[in-house]
Amino acid sequence: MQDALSAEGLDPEAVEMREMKTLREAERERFPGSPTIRIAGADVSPVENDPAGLSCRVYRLRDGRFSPTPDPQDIRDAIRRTTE
Amino acid sequence: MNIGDTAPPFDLPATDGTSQGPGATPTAVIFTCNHCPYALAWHDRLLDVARDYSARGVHVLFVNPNDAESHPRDSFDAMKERVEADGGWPAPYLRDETQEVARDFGAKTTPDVFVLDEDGVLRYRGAPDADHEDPSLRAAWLRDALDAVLEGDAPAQAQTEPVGCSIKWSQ
Repeated sequence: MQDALSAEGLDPEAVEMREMKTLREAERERFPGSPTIRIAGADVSPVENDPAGLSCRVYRLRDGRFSPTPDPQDIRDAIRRTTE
Repeated sequence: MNIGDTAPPFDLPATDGTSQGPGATPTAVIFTCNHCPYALAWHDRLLDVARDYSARGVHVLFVNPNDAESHPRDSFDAMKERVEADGGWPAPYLRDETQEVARDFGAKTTPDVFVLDEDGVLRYRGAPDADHEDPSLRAAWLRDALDAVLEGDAPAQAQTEPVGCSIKWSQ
């Protein structure tokens, strides 16, 4: 995330980390699992109908592999959408 | 459980309606689950191990210990649906509903791999290989451990750090 921000000429420290401690909190924040990365409130890799919860989140990389983190290109694209 | 300890016996229900646990053959007990990205990333490699080593007399057991109340995607019904959707697995998928087996083994993550010899003694514990993102590694650490145990030797690397999602313990 910080690498992507730096690459786009943005402040890599401009990241707010938030811990979801309870299911109620996750539901309130519509948090589908960890990690969830939102830029200006928008998920970098949005999915529909994923229930809120405290589980680990599964991402698909662009080559189809499962991953615990989003594809770096998805993060870069999300940053560009926000800054354009 | 430490390397050299004898594993506690267990008998858990499998998605195919049987009930299974370690026997008198080398056994790989693999704690895993339905929803963890690390478990999913390693899954195909571990199924390949099950296919390759079942033919060599190794008993491979996949065990899901996650609390299904907080993580419904790990329920026994969801496990059955997953195996059915895959057209069957080459090794049984067991439900550790009470989480007692995971606690007895000291499992921490999904996946977390334990290799027992034919006497039920723990010979390897840890990750399947060095990188969940690299399928070409083919669960090499697990394969090396099984090869050693089948030869009656101690694995050159008896322990690695398990990598994955924490087991979801019931509250």
